[in-house]
Amino acid sequence: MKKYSVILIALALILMIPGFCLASFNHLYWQYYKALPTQASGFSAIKLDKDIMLHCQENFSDLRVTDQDGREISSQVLRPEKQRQDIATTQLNRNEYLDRTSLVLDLGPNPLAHNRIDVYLDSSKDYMREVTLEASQDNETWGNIGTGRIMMYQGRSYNTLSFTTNTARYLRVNVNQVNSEKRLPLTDAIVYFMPISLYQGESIPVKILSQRSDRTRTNLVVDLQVPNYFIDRVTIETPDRNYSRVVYVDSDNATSKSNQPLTLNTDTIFDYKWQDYSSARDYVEIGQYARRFLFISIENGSSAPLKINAIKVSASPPYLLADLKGPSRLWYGNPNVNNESYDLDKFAYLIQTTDLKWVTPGAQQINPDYKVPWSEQNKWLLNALIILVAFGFVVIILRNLDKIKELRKGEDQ
Amino acid sequence: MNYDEQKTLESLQAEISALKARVAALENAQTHDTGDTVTKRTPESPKSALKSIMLNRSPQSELESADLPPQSRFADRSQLEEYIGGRILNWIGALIVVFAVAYFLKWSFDNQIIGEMGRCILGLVTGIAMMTAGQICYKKGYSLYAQGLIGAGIAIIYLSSFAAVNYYHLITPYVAFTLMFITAIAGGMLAAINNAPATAVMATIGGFLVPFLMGSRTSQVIPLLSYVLILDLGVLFLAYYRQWLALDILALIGTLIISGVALTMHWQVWPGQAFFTVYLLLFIAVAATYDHRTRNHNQLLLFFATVCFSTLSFGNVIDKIEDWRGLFTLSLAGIFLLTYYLPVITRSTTIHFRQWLLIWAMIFALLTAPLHLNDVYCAVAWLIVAAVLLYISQHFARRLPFITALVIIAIVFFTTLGTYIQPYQVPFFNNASVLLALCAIDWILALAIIPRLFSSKPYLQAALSSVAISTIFYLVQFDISNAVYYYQANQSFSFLVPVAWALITTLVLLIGVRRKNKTLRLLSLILYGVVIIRTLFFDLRHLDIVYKILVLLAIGLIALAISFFYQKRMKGEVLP
Repeated sequence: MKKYSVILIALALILMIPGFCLASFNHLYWQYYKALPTQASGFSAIKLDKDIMLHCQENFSDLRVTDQDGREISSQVLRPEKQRQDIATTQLNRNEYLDRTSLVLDLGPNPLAHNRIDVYLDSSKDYMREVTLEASQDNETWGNIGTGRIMMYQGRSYNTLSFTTNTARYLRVNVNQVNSEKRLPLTDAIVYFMPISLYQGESIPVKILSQRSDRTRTNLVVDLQVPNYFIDRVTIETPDRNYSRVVYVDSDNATSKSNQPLTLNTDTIFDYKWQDYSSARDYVEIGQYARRFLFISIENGSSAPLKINAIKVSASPPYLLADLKGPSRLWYGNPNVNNESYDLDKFAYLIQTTDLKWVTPGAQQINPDYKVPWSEQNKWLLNALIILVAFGFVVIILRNLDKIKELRKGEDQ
Repeated sequence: MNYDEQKTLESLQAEISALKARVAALENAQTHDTGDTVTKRTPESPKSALKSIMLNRSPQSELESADLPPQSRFADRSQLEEYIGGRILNWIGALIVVFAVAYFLKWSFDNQIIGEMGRCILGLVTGIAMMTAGQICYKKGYSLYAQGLIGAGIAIIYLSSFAAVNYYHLITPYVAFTLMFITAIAGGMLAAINNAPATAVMATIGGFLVPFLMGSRTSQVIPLLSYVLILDLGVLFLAYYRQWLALDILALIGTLIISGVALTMHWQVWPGQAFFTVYLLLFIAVAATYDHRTRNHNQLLLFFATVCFSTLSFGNVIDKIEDWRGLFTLSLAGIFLLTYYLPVITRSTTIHFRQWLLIWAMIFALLTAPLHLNDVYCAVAWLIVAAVLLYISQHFARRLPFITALVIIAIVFFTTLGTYIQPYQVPFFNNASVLLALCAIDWILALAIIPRLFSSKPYLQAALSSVAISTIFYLVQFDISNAVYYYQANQSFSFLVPVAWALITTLVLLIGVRRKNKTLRLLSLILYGVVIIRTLFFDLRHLDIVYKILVLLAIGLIALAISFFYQKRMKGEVLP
């Protein structure tokens, strides 16, 4: 009686003991750190290198910055923005000629620099038109600054034209048309500036792990080497011409896709090259953080698979904004913490990144005090033990149920 | 005389008493039917009543348990009138008095008419006075009236004590708990001595209503749960002497409601869990006591207590024990298993009750692995649980575990189809293939058991066979497609799918012949039809000419072999 009671009480205690506590910031739970060698004080941008991206959690939830005394400093991960800067314009003149439709835009007396324009035509059907852009300081003398094609394909507009960065006050947009083409009203044009260096990210080294095709699709697995890149675009380089394929881009942590991959984007790549015009788009815009492996699936339909020369990925590592006060430490590698919500989150986007001091973290250090929780360190042992004990229980219970069955038989007789 | 013999003797004495009481009740009823004068039931003196309780004699409770059906009770109108006027009105009146006192106290508090100390003393004195008055009435033969007075008195004492500690801090929690404990014991003893279930019910309802009547908005969860624990101890005490199942269930409901309310307050996970565990143990004890005293097979209390407190416990700690869910479940299994082994349980309770303890232990032990593991391992664990359930159903010839196993397998099967089936997997060694293979094994195990459990329903066997074979067909197709893709083989190698299906169909036919099972043989013929249709209308379109020849040759030869077998059968050479 006493023995069973003691075990019963012990089991009840297991259900009661408050033996599990959530990890607050305590450097014992962070596996790695890097020194932030800076003497400056104030907001700084900390570059996140491959070591950090490889070992930190998805969404950078475990990044923490501490000062020299080990006190936590609020920080905020900022992703590289395209930093588009729209410019206010006034529509001055809209004329329809036999061979073109034109629109004159006034950008004001001291216009900001501009290098992009989105041109909007009124059409519910697919189209392709050539556009000529002219610039002027006085609305009288015009000089050509660029020519390009805009189109709507399968309901989606490709209507952005880039031109040499300039500061002209007036901009004239001419939508040209040949005789056989239907006149499409030019409804609007939006002018803006896009810094080219930030827009495209940088080409990162990638490795194609596999490329397989079946009757309808070609699938590629691409290794980015580290997770947590902010992917701008994925370019599929092929020597083939005159094709149009839907491309699906997903991302995951392993070389085979799990049941919950991160869907990045779906878009169409195409290449049309005929006698008098050509149009091509061999990339898929992403604009998202990715896991380590990219899964690119190209829908071939009944066409032969594309011959793929290379996959190029434009990506940018994000950076960390923190109000540093001298030399500090950047901690990472804790799988059990969630994102902190600092006050900085509310106004970080207002801080001009161009004014920030850039800090490059030092070499990766392994935290000597890091303690792996027992249940994590011995996960398999714990699993095996619990399952074995449960199995033992089942056997004991079955034996006792057998005894009871016999007893009941005896009672019935 | 040893302990066992003494217990047996006591049990026999209790049974004789119960039988005597039943005979008396029947005689009494006969007297009513023949229109004789109704014999006035005189109450026993408290001393003799307590003595009878200690000897396991519970004359009036047994009388009540042997009560006649309600229609005969209300046979004449004067009795109905007596019942409503004497009993129901008494209960309602007592309950209203409790409410009135509660609102009077609130009004007097709000208007500063009575001081804090005065309020509590007033409450305590009123409660004790009502209980005393009730006891005097009981002695004078007004047993029903006494029940109401005592019940209301008990509830008022609870109310006053709770207010004294939580609102006014006039006494320490320890003093208040002692006071409430004494009240619970006193109320329980009076209810037991007077054999007054209504007193017990009213005291319990009053006790559980106290926190609500006081409108407590404090965040003190621990005193609240401790208070509930004291009430439940009172119920356990009563359960030992009187077998009022309704009271036990009432206490369980009250405990659950207050636990639910406490969860919305400033909840503390681990102290709260300690209370849930103690509640569970306590209600197992109440259920065991009820079983011991009544020897009937009603396991309602054990069922609800286990379901409710284990659910509450999981809900409470699930976020805190990510890596320890299995151990938690195992501990619940351990509690039931060790309760089964406790000598006091082994000696006192019925086999039926002990069997249910084992069943609960088995349920938690089986839940351990699926709850402990994640992702695909969790699904595998569920399939193993299903296999164990199939074994249990076969071993004990029970249908419920069998049906449960089928439901589990079906859920895992559809989860696999919905979640794990992804195109372009590594052939054979992927999550979906492993799970589908295990599902197929479980279906086949179920097929082997089904004739024993559902021998009169051959259509169930046919349905299960179809499901099992469909699973295998799907698995074969999935793996062959993956292999063709993974090794970038000629797409025409998919001709292996219909060939493999045809071979499986032949295997089914052979099993049907070997086991002399007509259902399986017919099923195999239908499946063969499916294979031929698939080959002609789907596969041939995609195959190169060489593979077309191969697949047609293979399917055709198998068809000829089957046909030859049936030709032989028609000659009476093979099958009976």
